[in-house]
Amino acid sequence: MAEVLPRIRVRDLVKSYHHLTVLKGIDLDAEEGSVVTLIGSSGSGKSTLLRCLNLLEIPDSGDIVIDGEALHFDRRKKAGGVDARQIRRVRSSLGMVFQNFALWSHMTILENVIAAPVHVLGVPREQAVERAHALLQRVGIGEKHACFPAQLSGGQQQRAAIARALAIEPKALLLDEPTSALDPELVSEVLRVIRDLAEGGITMVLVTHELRFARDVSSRVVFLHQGQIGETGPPDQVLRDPQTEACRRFVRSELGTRMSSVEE
Amino acid sequence: MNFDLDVFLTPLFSWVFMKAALITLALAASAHAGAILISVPMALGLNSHSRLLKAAIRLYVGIFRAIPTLLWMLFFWNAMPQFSAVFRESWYTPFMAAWIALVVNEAAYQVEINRAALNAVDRAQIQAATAFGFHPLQIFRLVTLPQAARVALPPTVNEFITLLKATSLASVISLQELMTVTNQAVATTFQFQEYYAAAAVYYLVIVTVLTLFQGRLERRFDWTTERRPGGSLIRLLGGRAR
Repeated sequence: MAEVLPRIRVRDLVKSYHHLTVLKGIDLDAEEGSVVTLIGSSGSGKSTLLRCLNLLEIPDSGDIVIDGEALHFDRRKKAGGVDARQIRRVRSSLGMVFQNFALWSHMTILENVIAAPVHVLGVPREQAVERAHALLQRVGIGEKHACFPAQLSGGQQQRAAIARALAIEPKALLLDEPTSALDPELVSEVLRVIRDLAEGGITMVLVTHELRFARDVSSRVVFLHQGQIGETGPPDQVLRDPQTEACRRFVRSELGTRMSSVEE
Repeated sequence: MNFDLDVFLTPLFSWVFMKAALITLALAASAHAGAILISVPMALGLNSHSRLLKAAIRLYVGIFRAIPTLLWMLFFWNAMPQFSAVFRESWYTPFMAAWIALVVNEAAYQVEINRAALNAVDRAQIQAATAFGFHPLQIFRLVTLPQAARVALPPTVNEFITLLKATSLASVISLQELMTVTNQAVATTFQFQEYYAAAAVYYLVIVTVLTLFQGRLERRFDWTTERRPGGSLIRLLGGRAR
């Protein structure tokens, strides 16, 4: 009877803005150590789903369980029926990586990485600094710790943002189109870091348009279509042999127009 | 024209004038501090969703910006004691009356500076702090405030210079600030050139020192050049990130 829960479980999640329903009852599981990749055309709801996971958007209804912490949403209650402290606790257990990096521009890279551990989690400063240096080494920008974000390239900034997300020792990493804002020649260095993390066993939910990369790193690919799960399965199946017409059309158009820049 | 150098130099080194200059500086600095303190919440109020709050703040700004500082000084010094006995007690000095007049007047100007500065903060960076589970007050202290302060700094220093000169209006309510003692010296000696020139030197020195300080502060707020993480802005603002 003791079923092992996945790291992230989503059941019947609904989110709408005014009269537009963006998510129409989503079920999603991310097992520990797996990489779940969300694909779909713009407006399909994939970014909204990701933002619902760490409650940047409060769902109207449904359930989210993150590492055993259960949240039940009910639009009739204030703030969806979850309290502010619980929301912050969930947020501080998930590392978010944004399309536009969103590093804090007035802090050095090191300060960016230690900010959440020190101020949200209460980690002693010395310990946070030590760990931050190790993480910056890991993403290959160890020598940039004293720079401000504006002094780094886009690829370096995104790698710093990944280090920042890892610094809170997250239950899972949420990546929202992490390479979409990068110059083509900078995409591969970021993808390499993500691949390295995936191989290191970090649970990830990834929104991306890099389908070739998704095929390489994903445990499972979820194709979202008009706010619903259009198709889901192993990457080889969804990306090479889509079962639905919508997914087939999406994959064909994406692979036809985009050249993934990381292939080794 | 016979400019008497000795008469010009005497006030530059006289205690009466130095004390008057200190009163001028203290009045301007404390009034600006008070004005900033009440204008930050007002700026946040202007950005809030409460229509009533916004209307009340707009009304405040409208009234206090429209009426001359001189009138406010006279009002607070001469008229307030007629309203209440509290303002007839010994604590209510010309300095206090001038201070209140400058605070309420300056706050109305500072609100707009603060509001523009708050609106200039990158929403994505606030969202990132939200996503990492920061408390709203932490977000304000660690992200919004330092970034807004940088934007607000140059116009705020500008305001301070204007305010510093506006303190001279307090001579009408007999506060012993720089222009008052200058006028008193002129009234007895009729040596206009020398005393006016000396007063001008005092203002010039204060504003010049201030401008140099502003330059230093702006370099400190410049986060595009490499710097040791130790000397950071968060520590400057009393945060505990270090």
